Amino acid sequence: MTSLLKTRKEKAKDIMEMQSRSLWGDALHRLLSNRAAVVSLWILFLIIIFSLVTPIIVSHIEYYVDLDTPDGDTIPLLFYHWGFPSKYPDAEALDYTTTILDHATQPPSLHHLFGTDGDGRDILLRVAYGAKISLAVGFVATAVSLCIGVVYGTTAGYFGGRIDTFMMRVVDIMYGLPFMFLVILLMTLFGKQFILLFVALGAVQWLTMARIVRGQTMSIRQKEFIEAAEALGVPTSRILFKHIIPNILGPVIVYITLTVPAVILEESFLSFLGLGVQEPMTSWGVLISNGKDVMQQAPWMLIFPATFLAITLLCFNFIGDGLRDALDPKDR
Amino acid sequence: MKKILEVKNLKKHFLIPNPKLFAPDEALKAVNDVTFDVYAGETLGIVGESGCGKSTLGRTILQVLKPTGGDVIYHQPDVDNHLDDSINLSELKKKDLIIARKEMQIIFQDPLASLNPRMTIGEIIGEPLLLYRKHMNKKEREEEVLQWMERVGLLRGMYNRYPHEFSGGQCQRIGIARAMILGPKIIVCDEAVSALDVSIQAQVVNLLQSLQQKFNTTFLFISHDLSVVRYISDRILVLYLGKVMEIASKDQIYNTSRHPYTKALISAVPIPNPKLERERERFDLKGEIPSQIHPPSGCVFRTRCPYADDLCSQKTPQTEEVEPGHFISCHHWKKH
Repeated sequence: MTSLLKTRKEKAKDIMEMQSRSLWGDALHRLLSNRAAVVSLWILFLIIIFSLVTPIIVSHIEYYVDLDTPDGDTIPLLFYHWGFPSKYPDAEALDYTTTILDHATQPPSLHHLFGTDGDGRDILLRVAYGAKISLAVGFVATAVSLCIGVVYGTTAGYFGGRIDTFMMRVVDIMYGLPFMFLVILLMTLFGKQFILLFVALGAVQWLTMARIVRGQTMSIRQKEFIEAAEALGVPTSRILFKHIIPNILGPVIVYITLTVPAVILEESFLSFLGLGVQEPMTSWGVLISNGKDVMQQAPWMLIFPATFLAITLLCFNFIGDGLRDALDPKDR
Repeated sequence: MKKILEVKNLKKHFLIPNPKLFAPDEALKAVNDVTFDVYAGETLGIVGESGCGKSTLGRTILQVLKPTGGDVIYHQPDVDNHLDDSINLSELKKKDLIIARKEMQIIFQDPLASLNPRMTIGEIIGEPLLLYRKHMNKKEREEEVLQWMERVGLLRGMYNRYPHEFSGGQCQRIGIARAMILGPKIIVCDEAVSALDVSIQAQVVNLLQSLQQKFNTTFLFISHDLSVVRYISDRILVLYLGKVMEIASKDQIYNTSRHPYTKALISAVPIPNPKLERERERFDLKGEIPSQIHPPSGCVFRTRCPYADDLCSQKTPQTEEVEPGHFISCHHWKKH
């Protein structure tokens, strides 16, 4: 019974020792209690591991090896497109055509879990390789749009007035430019370079980010703690980066989780049209594009990359949902 | 007593976009030609109805809002008498306003909203030191913050907590510590206790008073709660539609007020004793507060004043000193 009763001193001590939890800590806790979001996070994690690890492991495992060299050695077919390793200096002399044809367009089997494509390449490897490119495009283009959008949006929203009007009209004009036109222009001017894809996608995505950030900034700007900071003479840059940006990150993070799948989808779309990633590199979009041509003869060439794309997009959306609920201040 | 602040013909007009195309924007005269002095170490209560320009006045004095016209002259208390100690704050450029930022601070109405939810209490209270005491290292700053936390009645263990973990009263204590840590000479309390429970109000008001005694700070106490103002203030300024109606000592305002608006305000305060409450004479105002975009001509109060006549609508009353330290803007103050 005595243990239930606490003296004032003990209570004070409890307060001192109680673990303080920041708003971010609270949000993380809520996110981790959302089952769909946690499962999605795990699946995404596995897909990332899969995309990074598979090519390393598979090239060392015998039964994924597709080319037989005259001296009894075997070479992973992926290398056929990456150039042979120096171990096979006379590889050029090999008769690929027959060998490739032996392995081409095989349905899923123990040797090729996802089957092979028309060039005899293993779909599992292609999907893993495509995942790397697709996710990289998604994350990098989103990061580009985040950096531009957040700085642009907070500046417009914080200063308001004419600066805001001017900056947002620029955004409106950019919105007016057709996205495809921009990409085609970039691709024809500078050649089909991989890096341009990041630039083109990021350059389009930051517009919406800037609008969201501007709106959030305008509402935070009204809060008294910004006025308190102004009354203290806090420099504008510190107000923006220390007082405003941490407070608008909630909606921004949610928007990021929606942007990443949107960018992946856009990249797939561009690749589908032949404007994106070029052979021998590949992405999910390229794989789906190739797969749809032979849908009737070799459905596995379409099914596997499409499934991976769909699962990834779903995961991002579930995570976005979970984050929105976790960061929603009205929930508190 | 030494003057610390002179407010002369201070104006703050907000431009309201005119809904009609090509028509000029209209001005909302939130603070219109306000003149008064503040003495070092006193508490000046500023009272008035909602929307009369109390908060705008406070922010304009602090130069958080740029005045449309008029002067705010600050007399530095530490300068020798024979030197010119006055600084006209309204003429300073933005980068020179640091003097106003260090020596004049504000405490806000909503305790929680005035604290950044993503910063810890230590960061919030220590931010002024980070900006203005650059020679201090992290350890010294932390020590200073902890000392102030104790002064305002917070536990040292709360240093790394976030604002949402605190009650309204505690948040207001944090706001007070942040405002006072640089040792400002003037503090504007903008409805500083209005959002708190009555019992907490008393604690916070007492805290403010004890800090005032200790550091000889001057308070501009903005409030619509006449009981609190009566408790804390030395002198009271009554504001109506951005104009000063009456300035006088607390006793003059509450006992021998000469302005019909002040009388109406005071008679609106309930008396705890029901018998007295029933029997007392009420002085009710009719109608609503008029538009600030198109205020009444002459005396702004005339539309609701029981004594208004033609003179009131034609001529704006001048502020007269009716007895030492008692200023009134009314044509008919002798009548009542």
